[in-house]
Amino acid sequence: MTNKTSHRELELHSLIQKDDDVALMELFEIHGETIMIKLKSWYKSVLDEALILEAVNEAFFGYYKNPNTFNPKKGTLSRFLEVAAERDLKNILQKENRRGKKIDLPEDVELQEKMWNSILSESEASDSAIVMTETYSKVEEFLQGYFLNSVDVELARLILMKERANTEFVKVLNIDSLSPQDQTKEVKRNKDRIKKVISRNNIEEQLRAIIYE
Amino acid sequence: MNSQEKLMRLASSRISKDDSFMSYFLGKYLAFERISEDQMISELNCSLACYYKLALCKAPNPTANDFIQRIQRISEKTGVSVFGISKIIKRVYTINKLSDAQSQSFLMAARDKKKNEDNS
Repeated sequence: MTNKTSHRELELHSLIQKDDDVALMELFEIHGETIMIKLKSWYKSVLDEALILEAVNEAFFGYYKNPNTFNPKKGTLSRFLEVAAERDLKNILQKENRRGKKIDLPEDVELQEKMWNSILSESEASDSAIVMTETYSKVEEFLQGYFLNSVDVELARLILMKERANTEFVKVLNIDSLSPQDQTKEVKRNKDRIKKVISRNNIEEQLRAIIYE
Repeated sequence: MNSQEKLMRLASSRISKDDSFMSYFLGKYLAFERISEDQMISELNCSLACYYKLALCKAPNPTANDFIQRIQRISEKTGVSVFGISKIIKRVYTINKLSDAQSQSFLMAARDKKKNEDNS
């Protein structure tokens, strides 16, 4: 928080707290485009720009109405707004997803344990190769919507595949150099983090819709 | 219209019913004058982006002592002329006051009429 941007952010934050005449305008002018560009790049699968606009709008007004939810000591305003906009986009996508569901899912449908493997192996030979490949990429895109980097996507994939071997997670996390104890700790910490995202966003349920639709 | 303008337009429509914002005043002005947004932009001689920036600003009360200073600051930040902003606020404010007064007098007349009827 020592660069010029931070100073500008603090100034803007103070304007918003004071309910200044130009505060809302400056909030949108300074952060609007940047955050939209970031969301668009993180959520390439979201083709409808209106959803991104709505999410950014929601996040900005949320902060504007309750500026004290942002604590300058904990991080930058731009990061705070990014996180808020991303959270709002996820909520919007979930709502859209629920609204757009075309099929009733059987209650007892469980995710195939080796879903990705089966999709891949079938895609090599069967008549439904194209469909399978499409499903695979849809699933990947879907996960990329919730996890910001490829490591997290891969970890989520392993968890959803019910992978139990620590070694698989160690490979993905690239922590071979750590002691076995530290590896276990690090794997657990990351698994817990990813599981929270999975559970909070009903990812498993949404995946069923993608796979079995 | 670029993404930034679309975002500001969306924000502006969200506050269009809130009379503390310029978005409300711009909307009312368009309705009273029966002109389009494009006509308004050309009247204000500003860009679309400046127009939406103005919409997201707070509207100072024209009777306040610091009205001119506040308008000047908004003008500097948005690129819309002081004259243009002032004209919009004052016109809408006056029409709102008039319509308030009109509805008050209608109410009073109705009350008087009822009183007279009750007494007779």
